[in-house]
Formats: sequence, C-alpha cells, structure tokens
Amino acid sequence: MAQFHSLFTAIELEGPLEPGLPLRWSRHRRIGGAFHSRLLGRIGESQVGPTYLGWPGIISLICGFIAIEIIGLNMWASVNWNILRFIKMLPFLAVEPPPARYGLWPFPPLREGGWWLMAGFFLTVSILAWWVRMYNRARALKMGTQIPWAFASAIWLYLVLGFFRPLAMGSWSEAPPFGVVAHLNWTATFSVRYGNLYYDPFHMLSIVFLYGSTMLFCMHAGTILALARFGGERETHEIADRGTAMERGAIFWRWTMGFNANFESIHRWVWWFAVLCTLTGGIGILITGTLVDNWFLWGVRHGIAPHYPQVPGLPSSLPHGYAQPPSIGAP
Amino acid sequence: MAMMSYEEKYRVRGGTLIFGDFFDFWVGPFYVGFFGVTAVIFASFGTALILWGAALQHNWNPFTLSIDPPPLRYGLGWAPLPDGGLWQVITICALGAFSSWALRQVEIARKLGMGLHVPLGFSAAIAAYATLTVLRPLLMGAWGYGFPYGIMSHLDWVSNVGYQYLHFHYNPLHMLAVTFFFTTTFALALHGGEILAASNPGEGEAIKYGMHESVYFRDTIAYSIGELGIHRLGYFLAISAGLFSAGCMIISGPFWTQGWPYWWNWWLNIPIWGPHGFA
Amino acid sequence: MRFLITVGTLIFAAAIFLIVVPRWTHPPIPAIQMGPPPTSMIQFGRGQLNEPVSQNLLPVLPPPSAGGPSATAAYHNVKVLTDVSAAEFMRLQEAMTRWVSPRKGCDFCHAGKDYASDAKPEKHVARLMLAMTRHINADWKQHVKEQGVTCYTCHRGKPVPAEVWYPSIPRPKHGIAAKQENWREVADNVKKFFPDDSLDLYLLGEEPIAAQSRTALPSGTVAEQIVVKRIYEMMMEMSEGIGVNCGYCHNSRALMSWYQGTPYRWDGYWGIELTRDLNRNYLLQVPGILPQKRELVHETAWPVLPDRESGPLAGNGLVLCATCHEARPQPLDGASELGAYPGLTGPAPAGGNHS
Repeated sequence: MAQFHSLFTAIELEGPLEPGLPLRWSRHRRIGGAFHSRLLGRIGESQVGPTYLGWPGIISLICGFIAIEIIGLNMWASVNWNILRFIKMLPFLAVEPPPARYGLWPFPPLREGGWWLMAGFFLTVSILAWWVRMYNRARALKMGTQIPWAFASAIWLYLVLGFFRPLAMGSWSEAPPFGVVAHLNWTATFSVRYGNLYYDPFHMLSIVFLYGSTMLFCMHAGTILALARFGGERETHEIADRGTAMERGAIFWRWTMGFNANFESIHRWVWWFAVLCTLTGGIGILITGTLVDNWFLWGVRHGIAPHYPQVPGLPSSLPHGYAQPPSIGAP
Repeated sequence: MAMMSYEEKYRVRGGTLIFGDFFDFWVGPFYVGFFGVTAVIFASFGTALILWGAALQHNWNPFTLSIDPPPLRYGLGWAPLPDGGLWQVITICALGAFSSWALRQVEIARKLGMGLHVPLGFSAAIAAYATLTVLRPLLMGAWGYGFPYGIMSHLDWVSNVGYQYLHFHYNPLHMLAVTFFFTTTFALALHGGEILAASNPGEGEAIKYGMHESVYFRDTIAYSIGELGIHRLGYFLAISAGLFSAGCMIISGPFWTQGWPYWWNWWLNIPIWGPHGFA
Repeated sequence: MRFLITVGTLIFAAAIFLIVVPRWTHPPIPAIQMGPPPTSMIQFGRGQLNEPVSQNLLPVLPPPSAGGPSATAAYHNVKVLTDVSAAEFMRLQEAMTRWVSPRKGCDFCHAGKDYASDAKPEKHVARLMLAMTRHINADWKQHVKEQGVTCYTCHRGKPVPAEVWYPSIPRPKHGIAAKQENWREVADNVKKFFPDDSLDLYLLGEEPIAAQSRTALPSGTVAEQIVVKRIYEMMMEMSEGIGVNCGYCHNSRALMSWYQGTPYRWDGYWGIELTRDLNRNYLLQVPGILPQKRELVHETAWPVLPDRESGPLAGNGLVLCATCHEARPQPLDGASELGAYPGLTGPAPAGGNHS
C-alpha cells in the first residue's frame, strides 16, 4: 500500500510556530497562543492558532452564544432543569416558531415562538457578523473574497428558510424549528405538504450539485493525493508556475475522459458546484408554497411524471366527502 | 491533434494491467487500453438496450422513460426482457462499464506515475451502486429491489422506499451519510474559494501561496488544515458520504423492516434514565 | 497514541452496542409487492419483530337447538339481544365471558345470582359494547367486510383491550419556556413516545385528513405545517397499528392521489370513519358509566390504568386501528367467528340509549 502513504503523515516535523502575516488596517492583534497538535499533524498542519478576533468576531461569538443559550436553556427549562432528563430528551426537544395565528407579528408570547424569534434574530446577527469577519480577513490579507461569497450562498439558503419564505408566506410558522428531531420532522413534513419535493426542479438541481460536489471533491482530492509525490498539493504554486504535478493531473483526466480542467479551473468548477447547491436549494424552497403548491401535480402539468399502471381493484368513485380530483394526466 | 503542448513527453508505453502493449494506444485525447475497449462495449451495449427499452415502451420523453427492474415474483431468476430482463442486462453492462472505467484509471495512473487514489475513490461510488442493484437485492431475494433507471422513476422509487420505513430521516446511517454530503460540500466551497482567493487576489495584487492560505484560516477559525490536509479530509469525507449511503440502504430491508423511528427504542431504554422516565 | 486508542476503543464499543442492542432482523425477508415495480410499494413479511399476539380463536361453542322461546320471553331485562332465541342468548353470554372476562367469569358484569339486576356498571358497559358490536357488523360492512368483529377481535381475553388510547391531558399554559411537543416520556418505545395529539384530532374529532393541494399552483388548499405534522403522526400510528408501511395504501410520489394508491386505502378511509363513530358514539360514554377502579388494582383481572391517564376524560380508553388489528392488516389474520354468532349483527336497540 505504499501508493497511499499520502493519506496521513507518518513522520511529523515540528518547526517554529508561524506567527501569521502582518495585519492591514486593524488595531487589533491576533490572540491566543499557538501550539502544535501531534494528532492534527497526522492529517494536516500541526499548528493551532493564533487567531484574530476583531469586532465582527466578538459580535458574532456573543450573538451566537446568546442564540445557543436561548435554545439550550429553553430545552433545559422544559424538562424542569433535570440534567438526566435533559440528556434523554435533547434529541427531541425544540424551540418552535410561533403558530400561524400570530402571522408575522414580531412579539408573540415567549413560550409560543417568542424565544424562537429571539434565537433566530441572534443567530442571524451572529452569522452575518461572521460573514463580515470572513470578508474582512480576506481583504486584510489582500486575497480574493471567494470564500465569503460562497458563504453568502449558504446564508441565502438559511435566510430563505427562516426569513424570506416566512415573509413571503406571511407567517413565521412557515420557518423550521431549532431542534434535532424537530428539523428532520419539519423537512419530511414539508415535502409531504407540498406534494413531493422530489418534483421541485430546483430541489433536483440542488441535489445534483450536492452529489456533484461530493463527486468532484473525490475526483479532485484523489488527483491531488495521487500527485503528492510530485508536490501536487502546492496548488497555487502550480497555478503560477506549471510543474509536472499539474501536467500529470491534467493529462490523467484528459486521457480518462477526453477533457481536463487545470489547477486553477478545477477550483472554479468546485466553487460553483458548492455555491449552486445552496443557491438552487434556496430558490427551490422560496418558490414552494409561494409559486407552486403541489410539486407532483406541477410535474404532471409539465409532462415529467411517468405513467404507471393502476393498481387493480380500485373502486370507480371516491368515498363520500372527497371531491373528485381534477384530471391529473397520469391516472 | 488533440494533444496539449506538454503532453507528448508523457505518452510513453507501459503501465497496462493486462495484454501488454496490445491495447496501449490513444484515440484522440482518450487513452484506450484493454479496459477502454471493454468500457466502450459495455457502455454502448447498455445504452442501446436503454434505447430499445424506449422503443418498446413507445416513450422517448427522457423524464418519463423508465427501465424497470423485474417484479418481485421473478426472485433472483432471469426475467423476460420487457418485464425487467432489460434492467438486468443493463445493470450488468453498467457494472461492467464502471469497473472497466476504474481499471482504465488504474492503468492511466500507473502510466503517469500517480497514486491510485482516483480509482479507489471511484470504487466507493461503484460499491454504492452495486449495493443498490446487486447486494441488497441478493440479500432480499429478488432483483425487484433494484432501482428503476429513469430520471423521475428513480425519484419515485426513492420516495416509496423511504416511506417503506415511515420516516427515513431516522435511519442512523442516513443521518451520517447526509452529514457527510453536506460537510463535503461545505469543505469543498472553503477549499475552492481559498485557492481562487489566493490565485485571484484582484487587480495589481500579487498572487498568494500556502502561507496566506494558512494564515487566512488561522485568523478566521484558529486552524488551517493545510494544502495536503484539505485533500486528505475531502477525500475521506466524499468517500464516507458514498459508503454511508450504501450502508444506510443495506440495513434498510435486509436488517430492518419496521419504521426507522422505532429503531431508536434503545435510546428510551438506557437504564440510567430510571424506571419511570422521570414522569 | 493513547488518545487514538481511547477513541478507537470507544468507537468500537459504540459499534458493538449498536449491532447488539437494537432488535435487528435478518434475511430472508418475505415480501408482497403492492404496486407497479418502479414504485417499490412493497410490504415486508408480517411483523418480523412484532411480538406475536395470540391468533388463536377460542373454540366455537356448539350451536343451540333450533326453536325454543325467544330471549325476551325467557329472561327479564333483556335490552340489546332482543332478536335471538333464549338458547342463542345463553350461548352468546357464555362466549362473551370467555372473550372478555375469562378470569372473573359472570361476576364481572352480574351482581351475584340475580342476573336480571343492573346493579353493576360493568353490565351497562357490556350492553353498550354489545350494541356497538351489532352496529359495526350491521352498518360498517365497508370496513369489516364479511369477517366482521366479535368481542374477541379487540378483547382477546382481557377486560380492556391491549391497545387503547386516552385523550390528551390539557397541558399547563403557564411558564415562559418554549412549549414542547407532547412527548410521552414514560414510554419505553418510540411508538408510544411520539406525541399522540393527532388521535384527538382525527380519531375523536372531525378534522379532515387532507394535507396536500389538489392544484399545482397555489389555491389556498395546502394545510398548515403543524396540521401536516399531525397527519403524518396519525398515519404512522395507523401504519403501526395494522402492521404495514405507507406503500400499503399510497404511492408516496402522490400521497393524496386515490388513483395511484391501492384499494386498501378505501378500507383505511372507512376504518378511520368507523373509529370516529365508535369513539364518539360509544366509547366516550364508558367513563360516565364505569369510573376507574383504582382501588381494585390488586386484583389482576382488573385493568390497571396508569396514573398518567387520569383527567377529565379518563376512562377505559378509546379505540384506534391497533385495538382490533394488533399490527395485522386483518385482525386475527382474517379468522372470523362471526358467522357462528348471528346475535352479534343487528340494529341498535330502539330508544337510542343503549345502556
């Protein structure tokens, strides 16, 4: 298995700790001591820290802490502050959005969604402040801002679920709850409610980009690991100054499938796949219930629902109380 | 000539797994090799069968076309071609083509002096496919448990299989697989964005290298896994996503037939909770 | 290194735990295909893991000799079984005793030797249940078909059937902590642990069970998220109760479509209507007639009702799919004694008040 020596670091070298590069337009300094971790060094760099804090980071951490406290303390309170019961019930406890009768009213009773609104507010501030932090740090290092913009795509999906779609639907009750089992139930229920989300074309695209991202990461990471013996992991060097690692990587795929990216363009491919996953996912959620109410029937309308033979023995009329459904093409 | 400027010096003989130099040649940009020949045969035969299936069904709409597995009553035997036999042969063709493709990647990697990571990773995907179409049907005792080959029909299959277990999100390995898929995509965005950010720093700015990349992640999240590490991590995450997906299906049916929520009974019965659940 | 060994050991231990503790099944898995192959509407062999319930019917009592006086002529105070002969009446009394209270015998309902006496409330409940059984067999053919029901279908030799449910206790409205789902923490299995608010809505109330829009584009017919969640819970309860999965009735790509599902969905539909009828018109009366007998819990023949079922609507429970079905698509796998006891089919007694 000498081929796969690149899967972990057998011999760790420990040099002096990197203090980091000089900071631009900032009065803050990096905080926290740096140290080596032998365990992390097995698969990646061994140095942990120092890190940068700054105001966006401070705001983000405080708001994130508040959001988690609101959620966690609510859960704990609901089991009478019993720690064992809390552990047992933790997967099932939730902070649910307000019921539909409160619409978009921003001050529902605390126990009926008030806490949810507050937790959501602080979590959103925390995430947005973290976005500013990701952006500022990139600018401070005079680098591009592709990471914050990819992050923005994820924030888009988050905001669609918890903010934009509830706004469009006119009710906070449309948003998902905070909770482990609760959000799984919400997801399954949402699909049932809107007539099978698999027929939502933007859901299809989102899944394609999710699986596509996974496939691309496997292809890309596999290529780089296979080229480790030629220094293939030094990607930006190979972009600036093509070496044999880049050449072999490109030729591998050219010979395999007649087409190849290069060390820079593969990262454009993967960036777009990852970004489009949440971008299309957000669109798919936003138009559900606002533009389309039943995705299966939408699929029937547009001729994409396959025809299956009817199960024999169905009565010719519906039970009392059920209106005859409109003709839906696929019987 | 479909060759890149630097390609000529890499086109050397050797590295094949089988039949020596006999298939050691290129067609346009494609390397052929013995497994290239088998891949083409399997793939074109399989595609032809799909087209034949479309002709039999008089259905040329790519969304609604579906090559269905045989009904359960055929068990593990051969079914007549229009009644699932096509699906059986196409499955053989697909597995043949996928395996040929992986072995062809091995030959190309050997020829280029590269590691075998790409075909190994691809094998995880093939294993997931084989789990769905061969391994699980074998355990369940009928080819009818395979999934239909059709854009929408495979979605309908996934939907119905999920509801066979009432609520599939409670499948523990499905939870892990979904987590791996999301994490892979998340890590991929970070990695792709990072390399683009370093190599495209903006007008008039010098290109950045590993030092900046590491400092960026240390500044933001206190740890940078590094240039080699991110690829190890991504490779692990992506393969785990595939393998846990296969795992969540292999337990669904052969080893669990109830609703997945009820699998969690053990959680409610851990002795430390006390006899009355605190009520 | 020590860290790795520790983590590895923990993961290994967790894996062993998860392989050994959950009640996994194993091949071969018998199965029935409900729908066309691409949909994978497949039912797995009946309850791989369900505890087998007693499927054995009690032996049918020998038929009575024909003729003879009618029950009303031979006995006093006969209110429900007014259309059978005296011999058939006695035979049915004996069968009922074996079906419902084999341990306490006639004394379960009757006060001493005076069989005409209405002193014991249990007797009133028995009359109510008898009227209910006759009503089911006479008026709910859509659901019970020719198999019908007898006392034994639900009771299986116990005074209170094994599977009943109790209306939700109103939850306190005070406090500021976020309101939680009605998880039943005392439960030792997930089925019982899940919130059962849906049963109040759909097996006692008259809420329509309709989640999805019948038009592709918005027409204001989609149910609220919380309603769909309740329907989902109700459907899971139903699936578990009759021992099938969703594909027994539905093609999940279009859950609302009657034409893509199976004929069994009609049975299920009538089953829900039947259950509502029984709960509202018969079983809700039981607590009024028969208060809980907590003081008698030391007698094992009596039902022991857990404390959690106390409250304004507490009683001897309401019915749901599982009460008759006990995780089988057909109760008792289709075995029927109804034909041997014609007295169990008939119109409700005149006057409306069955007790």
